[in-house]
Amino acid sequence: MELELFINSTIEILKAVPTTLSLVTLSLSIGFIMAIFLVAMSLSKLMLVRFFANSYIYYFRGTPLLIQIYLMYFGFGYWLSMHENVKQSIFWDIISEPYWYAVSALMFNTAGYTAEILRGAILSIPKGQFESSYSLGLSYYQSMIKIILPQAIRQALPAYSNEVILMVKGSSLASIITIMEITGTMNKIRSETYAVYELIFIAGSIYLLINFVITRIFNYLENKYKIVSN
Amino acid sequence: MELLYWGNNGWGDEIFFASLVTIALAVCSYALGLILGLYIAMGKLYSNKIVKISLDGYTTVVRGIPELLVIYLLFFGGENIITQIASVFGYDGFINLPPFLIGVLAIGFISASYSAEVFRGSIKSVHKGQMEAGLSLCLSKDKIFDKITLPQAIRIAIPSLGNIWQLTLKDTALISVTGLAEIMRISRVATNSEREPFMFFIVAACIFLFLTSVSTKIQKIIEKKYNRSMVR
Repeated sequence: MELELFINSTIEILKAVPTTLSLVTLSLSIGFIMAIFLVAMSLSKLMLVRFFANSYIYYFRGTPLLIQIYLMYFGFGYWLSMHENVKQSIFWDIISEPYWYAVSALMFNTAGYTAEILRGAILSIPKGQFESSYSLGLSYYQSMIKIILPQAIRQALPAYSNEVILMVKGSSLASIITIMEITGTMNKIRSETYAVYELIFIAGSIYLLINFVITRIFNYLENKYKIVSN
Repeated sequence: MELLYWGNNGWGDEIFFASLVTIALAVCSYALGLILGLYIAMGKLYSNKIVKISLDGYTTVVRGIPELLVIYLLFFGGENIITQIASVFGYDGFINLPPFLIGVLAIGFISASYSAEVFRGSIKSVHKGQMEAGLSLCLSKDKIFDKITLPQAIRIAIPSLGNIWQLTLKDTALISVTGLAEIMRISRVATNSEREPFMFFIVAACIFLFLTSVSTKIQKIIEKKYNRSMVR
């Protein structure tokens, strides 16, 4: 591979970085909010609600991400496209965009994993924290939001940083449903130039860099909010 | 439902054999990962600096890049490398690797990087006194590792190794990009040709759920067995 081609493809792959990052951040942020609701549901007193949340977590942690993306895009998206009135509607521009299928698949997936992480963290908070906040007259929700969740989120930080890295790696699967993020762009250039090693080197380095930055950020957060134990 | 019948009219038999391929792929690559991972861990703990740094680099890189890139690297680049190595030994022809082998190597290399970290941690967590006790019994270093350190390290490693098995099992789905007829590939083909959006993917998801839940059960049994002597 000549130097010129190397530089050109590096630039082209770098241009795809925002797509990867937006996929990851969008799905992570919505997924996190969903996860909080899921945890609340899995800790609920109602059997049916608990059952729903637990089976959601069970399904999304027990199947490969690829199958979830396939079900979203080739399953749900294909089913939508079979209906004429959906095709005529004004939403078709959004519905026919594979980007949203990738975002929603990643989002549902990370919600399941994050919920499990958060649940573990909440259960690891000593019961005395609850009892003391009750004794101060806080309600269940108040003590959950003001006392338990902040501690649980700190507890969950290391596991959550792993989940974020898994999401960055998982976003590469969006290339399978024709999204031109880093892996997709790399694959496109590969099929045009037949260069393999150099392109994988470029893409791999970018992913490594992203993941390195993420671990750094989480290390910083973990140090900033250090758990002070006596 | 007729679509799932056994035989030429349905996809039942194809899906069944595809599941067998997935299981075989997962088992082979997990085994490869365990063996490689153990050697990598030993290299990281007991070798000289150069080996250590390169092995650290290996596990960092493989765990830091998407699995898909590793698969692409082996799928598009593996045959080239093998052919070039063969040409050094005087063989001039293109060597084709079967997709199953590529899958086992790719998933095995990924799995190895995870197992290596687990093994390294668990070997390190075996108390130093155990080694000293072995030395005082005049056992050689290799023997201490084989008979004293490793068995205890494996007991500690088992829960995490179980998690890696689940990861490996789920990673095998990615091999469908190489065209190997495992569950994902077959369900994709079936979906396309039957124009039936949901059924085959749901079946595939159920197979994966079944496999992961069975392995969770087996994992619990194994953990119990290995912790027999540790119950207080």
